[in-house]
Amino acid sequence: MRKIYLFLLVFSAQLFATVSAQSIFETPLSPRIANYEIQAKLNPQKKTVQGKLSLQWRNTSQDSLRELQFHLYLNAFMNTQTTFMQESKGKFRGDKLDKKQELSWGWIDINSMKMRDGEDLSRKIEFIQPEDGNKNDQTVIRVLLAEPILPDSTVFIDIEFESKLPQIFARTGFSDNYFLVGQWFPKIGVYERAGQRYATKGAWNCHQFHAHSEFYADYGVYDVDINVPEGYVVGATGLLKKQAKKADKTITYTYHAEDVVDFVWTASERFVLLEDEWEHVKIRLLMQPEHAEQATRHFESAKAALAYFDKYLGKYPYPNLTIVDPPFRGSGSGGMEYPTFITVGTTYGLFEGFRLPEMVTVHEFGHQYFMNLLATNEFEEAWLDEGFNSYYENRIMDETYGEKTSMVDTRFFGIGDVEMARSNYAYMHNPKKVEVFRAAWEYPMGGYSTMSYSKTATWMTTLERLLGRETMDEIMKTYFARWKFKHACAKDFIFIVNEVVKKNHGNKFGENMDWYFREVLYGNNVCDYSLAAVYNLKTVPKVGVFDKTGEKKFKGYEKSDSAVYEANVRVYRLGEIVMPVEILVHFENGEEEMHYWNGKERAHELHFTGKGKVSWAKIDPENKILIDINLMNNSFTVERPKSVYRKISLKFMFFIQNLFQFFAMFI
Amino acid sequence: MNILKAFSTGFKTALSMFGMVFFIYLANLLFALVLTIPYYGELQMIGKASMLPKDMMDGFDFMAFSEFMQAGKGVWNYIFSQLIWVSILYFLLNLFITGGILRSLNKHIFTLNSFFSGAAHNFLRFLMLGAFMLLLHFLLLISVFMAVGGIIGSISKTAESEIILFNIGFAGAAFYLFMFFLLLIISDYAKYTLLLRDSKHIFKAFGFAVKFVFKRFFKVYALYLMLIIPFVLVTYILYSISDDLGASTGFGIAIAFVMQQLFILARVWQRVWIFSGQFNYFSPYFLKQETLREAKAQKLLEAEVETDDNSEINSENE
Repeated sequence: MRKIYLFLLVFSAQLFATVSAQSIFETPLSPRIANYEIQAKLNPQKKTVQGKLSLQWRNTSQDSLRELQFHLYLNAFMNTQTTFMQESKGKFRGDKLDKKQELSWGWIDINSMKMRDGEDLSRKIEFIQPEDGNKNDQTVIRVLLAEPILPDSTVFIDIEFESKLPQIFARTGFSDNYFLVGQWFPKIGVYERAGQRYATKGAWNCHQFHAHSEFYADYGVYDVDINVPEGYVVGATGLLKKQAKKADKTITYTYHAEDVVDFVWTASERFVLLEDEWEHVKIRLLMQPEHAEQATRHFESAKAALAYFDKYLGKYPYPNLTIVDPPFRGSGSGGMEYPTFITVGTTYGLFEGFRLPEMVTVHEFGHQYFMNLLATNEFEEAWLDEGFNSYYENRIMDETYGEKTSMVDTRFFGIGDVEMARSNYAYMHNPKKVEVFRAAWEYPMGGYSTMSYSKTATWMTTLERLLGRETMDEIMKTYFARWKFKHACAKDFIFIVNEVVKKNHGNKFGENMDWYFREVLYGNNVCDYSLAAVYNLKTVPKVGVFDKTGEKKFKGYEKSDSAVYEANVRVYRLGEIVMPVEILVHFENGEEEMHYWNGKERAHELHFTGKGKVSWAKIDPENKILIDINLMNNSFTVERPKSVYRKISLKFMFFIQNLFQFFAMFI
Repeated sequence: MNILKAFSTGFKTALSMFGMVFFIYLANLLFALVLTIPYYGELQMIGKASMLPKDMMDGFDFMAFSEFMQAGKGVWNYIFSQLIWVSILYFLLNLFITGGILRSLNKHIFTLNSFFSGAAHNFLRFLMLGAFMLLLHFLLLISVFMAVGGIIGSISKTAESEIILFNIGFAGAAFYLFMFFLLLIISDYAKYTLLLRDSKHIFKAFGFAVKFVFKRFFKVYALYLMLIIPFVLVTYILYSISDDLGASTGFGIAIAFVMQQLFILARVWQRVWIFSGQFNYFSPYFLKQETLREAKAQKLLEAEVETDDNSEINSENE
């Protein structure tokens, strides 16, 4: 009997080991260039993570490499002199670092670094500052190698490190016993081979950590052991493979992730774990107990996003998604994206009509596509992930929650996501401030979010409305299919746009669409068309002396019941951007005519004789050109809409009458 | 008089003075028109011949609204400054009117002559009282804001969740509202004291009102709440039917206008009702106190006279 028990025990152990080692995907989805095995131990009192890391890195270029470059992101939070702190002044999205507390600061130390073949690299570590030369910035290191790494060869590097987590104010760190451990380990940069993106020759692309920039990394497989004290609920990138209790009252959670560009984890004693699923995706929601009643809002929006992306862009290949709701004092870690793992944000008792949690969930999930599956360089082309993702966020929000109510839906007013994105751009103090195409840290103050998020989303919507939804979806599907698990850049996207537009529309929009991107992406001009005037003139009847057959005859005025009108519609191009424009003309008799104008001249007139009076005319009647910064001047009506002004004035009067009576209370 | 009786007699008195209510309403309407007519002109200037504002006809439209706001960027500040000045004027007018209302309530009859003479007679003392009460309201607002802000600020560094902060915020708001109404109540009774005593001593009147209110705190506060309940009900009714008053046609706009003006008329009337209810409750107490005060004074006087007489007799004997 004992033997049977022993057999069963051994068999179970073997079975578990087999299951644990099972891969997620039968065949790799990505090139798997940077693969990590990490053992991490959290010290909740000291707010540190002790780590051992084994990196397996493959040189996919044709160059022999004599150096490696790594990100040490946490060093951005070392002191006030780092590039991140200089640029952000210690503030991020309204949160700020408590500079007086020693525990608030964060850093990462590499205790040892060795090549698997024995070369000790610890003493060869050199801090570099590729962008600004700020010697106080230690977020990037270079390590010179004794032996070059040959093309297509693989190296193994073992690193021991200690990460001191900062107080959460910018994405990562701790708040009491809540930990959001992101950008926490030495992470190798991307070696861009000649021909990849904009590289003319092979070079490391490893940028310093800036206030307005996110990340860029190669795909890989991650096997991570996370050791935390008992009582902590843990979530991480990838799948939980096993958990083992230790004698020291800790638990080690083993996570496995494939074909991802980063690894993040979280631990907290207060998380409430809720689960749901959508088709093949298991959704884990780690919520603060006081927000648990909003779980459905998070699940439903996540499922709406999963279904939408699946239908309109491509399959979400991973089997799971973890959604983390940070506590209010750790809200600086909310609204962030990592592979298969997103952080959201809400507040206690948030009214259902304010769809902030839904919007954040949809947006951060969208980054599974525009960041993870399409791993663009977020440092250099933030608009490719933030802008494209905002465009989809707009679509999903408006189509799920209503075009005019997707963001705010109250009894008295509503706001849609598309219109909000447009207003962020169109009403900025100076919309010509800067072009979209530039590195994230190079935008002037206030330019990063408006340009990379709002303006890009707005010109993407404009592009969609110009080309039609079908063509746009084909463009995006092609872009996704061709560039998933790779590093695309602007020219790759534009190439696809030109290809699909040519195929579907021929030369309708010109030889190619470069003109569009020259304006909206590379240029900083604005678009503004104006319907300047509509005027109706009675045509002058034929009167005077006419010479028909050599004989002069006088023709005088004759009474006529039906006057003939010559109607004119005058349009101006006030902005620099040239767009093809539709003009809808409405006649007094109810007839309508649509006219197409190439939009090139500064002024353009339409003339109509004998069709009666024009009542009104509209430029862009279907609101296709959302990048037009002034929509008030897009229409002209002969009979001004006084009733609406009466209505607004009446509301105003009622408001001030009430205000007066309120003041009267004080007397 | 108990508060229910004060409530009902206040209602009857306010009803009997509809002419006065309508007169005050007209003042409100006229002041509002002073702002609304130029506002209407400005709207047309901003909108020009654009069709976009039409999108606001069937309700709020963010795109049309924000474009409109953007187009009139410079105008809104101008309108806002006008609003501030007209509101200050209206505030002063109301100080004036209050004297008239209270004189009419005291005499149980509304005549323009009596109304204006009461208004003019009490204007300065009510102005001083009003300024003092505004100062108290300001101090109340600042102190509650600072106290709540301070507590939230210190707790937020250690609080596990935001619930405690919400609760403190709600408690602070509730306390502020309670004190806000209390100040309004005291201010009202101080006015009645000034009127009935025909006095200019606002601080004495204020002290008398404080004593009166705190002596019968629950009754006085309950009466005030009872008097504002009808207003809350009317507001709720207007809120409930506001969707049906879509006002997307000329007729709809006219109906909406009538409903709004009825509401304002009700607000003005409700204010008179508050005054008359409280006044009816207060005046018997005041008269009793004054009678007692006079009797006491008379007694003291008589005692003094007696003492004087005795001392005269004594000195004569000496």
